[in-house]
Amino acid sequence: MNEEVFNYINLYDLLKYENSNNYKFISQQKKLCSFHYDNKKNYKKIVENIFGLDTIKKANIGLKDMPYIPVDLFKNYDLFSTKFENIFKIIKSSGTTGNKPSRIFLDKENALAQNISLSKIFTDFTLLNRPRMIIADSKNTLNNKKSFSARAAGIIGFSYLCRKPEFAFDSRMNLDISNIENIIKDDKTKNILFFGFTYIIWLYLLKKKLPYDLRSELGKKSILVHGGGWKKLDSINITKEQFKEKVNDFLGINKSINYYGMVEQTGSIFMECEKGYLHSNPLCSIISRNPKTLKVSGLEEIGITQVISSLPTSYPGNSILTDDLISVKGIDNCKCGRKGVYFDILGRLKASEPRGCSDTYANQ
Amino acid sequence: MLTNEDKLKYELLIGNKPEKVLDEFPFGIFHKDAINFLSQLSKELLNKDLDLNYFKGFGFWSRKANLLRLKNKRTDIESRVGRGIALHIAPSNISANTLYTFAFGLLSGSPSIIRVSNKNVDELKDILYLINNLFLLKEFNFLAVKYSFITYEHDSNLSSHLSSLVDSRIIWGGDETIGIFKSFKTKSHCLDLVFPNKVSSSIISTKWLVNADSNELKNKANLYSRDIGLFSQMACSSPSSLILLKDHELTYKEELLNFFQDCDFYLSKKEWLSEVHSLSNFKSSIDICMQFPNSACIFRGSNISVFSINKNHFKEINNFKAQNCCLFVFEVDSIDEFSKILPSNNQTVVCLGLNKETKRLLSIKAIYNGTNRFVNVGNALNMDIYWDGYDVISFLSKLICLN
Repeated sequence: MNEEVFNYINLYDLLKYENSNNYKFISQQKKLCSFHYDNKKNYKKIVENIFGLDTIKKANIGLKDMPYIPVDLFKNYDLFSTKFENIFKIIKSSGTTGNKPSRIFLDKENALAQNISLSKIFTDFTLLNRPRMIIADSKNTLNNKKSFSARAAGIIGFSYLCRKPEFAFDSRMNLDISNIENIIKDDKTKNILFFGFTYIIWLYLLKKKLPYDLRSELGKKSILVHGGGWKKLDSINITKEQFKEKVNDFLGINKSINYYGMVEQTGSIFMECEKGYLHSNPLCSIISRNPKTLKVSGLEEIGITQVISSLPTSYPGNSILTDDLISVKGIDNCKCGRKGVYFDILGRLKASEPRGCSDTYANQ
Repeated sequence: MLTNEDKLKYELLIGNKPEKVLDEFPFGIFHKDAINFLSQLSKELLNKDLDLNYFKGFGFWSRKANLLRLKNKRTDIESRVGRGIALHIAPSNISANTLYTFAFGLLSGSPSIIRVSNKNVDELKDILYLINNLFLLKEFNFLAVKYSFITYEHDSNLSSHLSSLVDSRIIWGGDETIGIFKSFKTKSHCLDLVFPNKVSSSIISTKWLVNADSNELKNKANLYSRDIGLFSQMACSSPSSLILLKDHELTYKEELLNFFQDCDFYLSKKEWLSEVHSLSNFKSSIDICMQFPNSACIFRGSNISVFSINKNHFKEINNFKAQNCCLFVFEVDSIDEFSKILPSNNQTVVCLGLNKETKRLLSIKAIYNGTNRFVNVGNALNMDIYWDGYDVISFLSKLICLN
């Protein structure tokens, strides 16, 4: 299956001109579902019990009818579709909501596919080719080699796409301005990727304006790519526009690109287009489902986000129902000229908390 | 007495201060003031102008006519008074039960300190306001000083201190909470009314299923959807399994699936159904696939999932406790077989289509195994003064012997 995934990733540049729901993407999904069905006993049970065997065996099945699993499953169970001895890396989600973190089991091939995929999507949306990189984080984030947090996985993933990455903060998350100056002064630096997690950038990088000359240079050479942490910014009422404005004002960077991704589908991320919408791409798509019925929602309706990736082989994560809320703005007709689904992420579903008779007092 | 330090740790919601309640005397069961107070509260709750739908069930139960009916069934009204001061550790899973526990205190003549779960304070805010308004009426002065609604964070010192001062305690489970409270020293005569973790089941006559007309089936499906849906099966009395009583030879698969289809439909019409119920049901269904790989999903709607299991696994599914309208089904050949496999912590059996004689037979056989409620469909969640095998009023009162 891994070979088929690599072959599929190589079709990126051809498929990006295709409409969403193109035959190749659907066919790739079918193959992945069948692969996990054959290799993961519990996944097989889920398919048979909840979706029906037809959903992977039938020839003319659509994307919306294919099996998906809830994101919580990765928090509560160890799921992998390969032999355990092939697992070489376990990525954990941040678990910021007070829940258990997700645990994603990767073999080498799947990890490589994630890197290649990220490179394709990154280049497509930023037009950058191996830029210098400034990471809005501290080296300490990468301390644990065997088990990575989502933040660390993001940093490592993007680092592979760039040259000579430097961290902007010291171990106490204080800005080390000399690192930025050194990159700017380097004559070989044609362009720079400033990368970080949205909330970290807001909290630590956008505290104080950079000096004028640095802002001016960064404005000419840099793009900011950031993702994650919107839930926290929402809670303090910071909008996307306010964030972009402050980035421009404090760092001098006038092009910042948000992305939506998750540790459960590392590598296949949804990046923001020039018109301000997050976009599907040949390697990943998205479906909005009505929380009351789980049927596909209409355009502009608020639904639950189902993320679909062409990459996961070592774990059954190719189609996942998340707890994020989405509004699909359109399909194949974004004014930016890109094909595919374009959408906004609106925050997180407020889950109802079932309470049992066991929590009169003890669990409070 | 409560020390100054303890006083600081609780928040008085309404009523008298707990330290004052501790000085109050009990009174007779089904006291006229208690009945008038509750029926007045009932009128307020059933008032259409108020948006208190969630508490209407309690409002209906506490109608004067119902309270008088309960009173008139008793032959010991003149010879019972409250046991003394009661401490109520009210449930947090169903906030309406805070009102029932208060009513039990009133009807049993027991002045009460009611510890409201801090999870429920917001939900109960409007109704506590109504109760407080009644307390302020002159006609209820007698009762107002005898009741205290308080809330406090998890605090062993205060719980232990209150426990040491009261004559009875009602502890609304589960097992862990009961364990904590049992570890506190109490007066030697203090009685505990405890509601430990329980599960509930339901049974359907397949003979009835095949023979009932469609209107009757739809009506029962509507009632059953309430039993499994109102509290997402998290109430102890909500069934998590439906046992198919094979009391005839005909096949019934189609009728059974139609019944579940109707349940699914009626659930979708319930105004109380959570906005994310379908998602929760989906997640719970997936969880069952992971936990019970030998189960088979025989019905999956938007709101309900039904899994067929081997009856030998009945014990495991009761430990698992299904949620969000996921049901386990399996077949039994007789009431005798059903009674034998019910777990000892089974509280309620919801009966669908069982004739009187079968239901009577079931109650005779199953009661020795732990089950103490046998109710018709639609009544699983109806609280009453007879609960979990207790006559709550008798338990919270003492019998006076005149010789």
